[in-house]
Amino acid sequence: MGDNLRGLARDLWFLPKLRVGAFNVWSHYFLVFRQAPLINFFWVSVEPLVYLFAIGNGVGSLVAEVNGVSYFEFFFPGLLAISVMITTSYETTYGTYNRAYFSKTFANLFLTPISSMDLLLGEILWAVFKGLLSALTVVLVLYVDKYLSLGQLFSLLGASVLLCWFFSSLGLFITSIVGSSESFIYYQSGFLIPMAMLCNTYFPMTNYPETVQALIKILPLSQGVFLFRAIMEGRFELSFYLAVLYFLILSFLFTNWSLQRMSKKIETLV
Amino acid sequence: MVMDRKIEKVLVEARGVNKHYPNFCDLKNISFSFDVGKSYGVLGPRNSGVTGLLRLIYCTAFSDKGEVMVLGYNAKNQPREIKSIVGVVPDALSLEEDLTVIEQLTVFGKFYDLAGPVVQNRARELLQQMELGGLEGYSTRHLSLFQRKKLCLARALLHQPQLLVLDEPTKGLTSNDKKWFLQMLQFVQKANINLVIGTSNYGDALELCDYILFLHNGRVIEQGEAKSLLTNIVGTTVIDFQSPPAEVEYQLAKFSNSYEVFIVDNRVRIFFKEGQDIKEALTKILSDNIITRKPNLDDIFVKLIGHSLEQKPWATT
Repeated sequence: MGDNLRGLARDLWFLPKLRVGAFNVWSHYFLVFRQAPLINFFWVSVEPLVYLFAIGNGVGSLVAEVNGVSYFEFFFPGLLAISVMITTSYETTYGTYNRAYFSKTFANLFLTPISSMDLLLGEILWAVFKGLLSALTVVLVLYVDKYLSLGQLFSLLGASVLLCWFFSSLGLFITSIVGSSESFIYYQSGFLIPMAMLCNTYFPMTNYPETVQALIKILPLSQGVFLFRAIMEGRFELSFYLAVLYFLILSFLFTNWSLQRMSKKIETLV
Repeated sequence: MVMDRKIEKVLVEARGVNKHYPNFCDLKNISFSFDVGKSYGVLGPRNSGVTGLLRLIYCTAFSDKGEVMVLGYNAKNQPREIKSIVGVVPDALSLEEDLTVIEQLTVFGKFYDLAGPVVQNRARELLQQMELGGLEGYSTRHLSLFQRKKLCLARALLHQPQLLVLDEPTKGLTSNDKKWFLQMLQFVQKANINLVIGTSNYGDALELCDYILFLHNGRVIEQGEAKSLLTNIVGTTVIDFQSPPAEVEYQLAKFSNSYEVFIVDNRVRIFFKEGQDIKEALTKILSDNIITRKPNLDDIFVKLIGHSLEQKPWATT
């Protein structure tokens, strides 16, 4: 038992080297991505904007006010967090699984002078990029609409990087433990979608009893929504920096854990 | 000027290598040494560990026990150094279906730190050489098997490797295409690129390789110079004749005193060494189906592992 814990600690506590190989993997994915830009445009950009319009404006017009702000103002940070979460999570679960097992991308790239760590860090970089792209379209539209200031735009993107990193590393970790791609449903329908619905996104947390609120608060999406809301309201208090720390620490640990687990698996994938 | 690295004489060296693969044959205590300047064949029937051994050389898998050295680099600690001087044509032709023919090469070039224009020129040159000129913008998913093989070869040569590893290079090709491919590989050899070829086809190995390593069930069962290997192990001539099942034992007893005799199904094979009298033996054989021929790969397997290559694994114990 002690040995297991020590082994786990060794797996978690190291500084992964971000070498040029990881960026080459990223640029390879970018080239493939460019082949079908429209598919990605619809999935990454159009979908969140439709949600924002339908729920934020449509349903929002039926609601008077939430916590003293308009429903659109309340819903927008939640939507941003949801779309970032879903895009990055998809990329390192279904996306990575597909590249590893079906489309031969891993087998292909692993012939070149990169290590398994480079390959997997490339996956995370790519997922972060895709998540940021999703965030970028939403905030850009609202910036053009003069809803956001330039400072808010960049702060939101900065906070999105944290969420992207966290959910891509968690997704990769899930990929390292699933037996088949069907098992992603547990993660998707048992964790991601409930979070998207319940974590202070569509309706305020104050509707819950206190104990449930405390539980919901520690979930990553709640923390993400909290970050975005704090930026929108300009409240940079201690709790804001604690949330930043929450993402930094957990992302670091999940990145390392997933790298260790996946690189042991990689021999059988290629 | 002082050379910062000594010129390597050893191409690949394995010392006591063990490796467990969940999906194919395990490697058991493999040791060998290949020299620079020669071409090597790793020969074995299906699932005998050939692919598993090649993967240890081109570093997509790593040994559990023992060491693999490639051109002075340790496979476990310096895989990226090895990969940057080794070109690979894998058995499962891993090409990315979404890319075009030319992109397949330019994308790879980036990983070897080659500048964009250099890669473009080299890629076009290689495609011309592989007779794939004009297909640059063609999607990979529309290529035939032969075209895929050629594209894989072009990709493996892109960074001018010192060692080219090929796994089953001619599998599935028609005889004309096969000939073209073997000639191309001979051309590669002339450009001072060392070859290591994994194959189950003895003819290919004989055509390209100076030295052959035989694998069976993940072990090295024999090795030697390609040209003399057959004569050393089997002999100069083989007589292969049919015998009624009831008489097989009798035939074995009759010839096994003076010759090497093996039974394969209902046929008897007699191996003749240099200088042994074939005519005399022929007079003693009573059969209406006698073949006198040169030894082949199958004879080696009959001798070394006790059964023919054609026999299914589940037919033997």
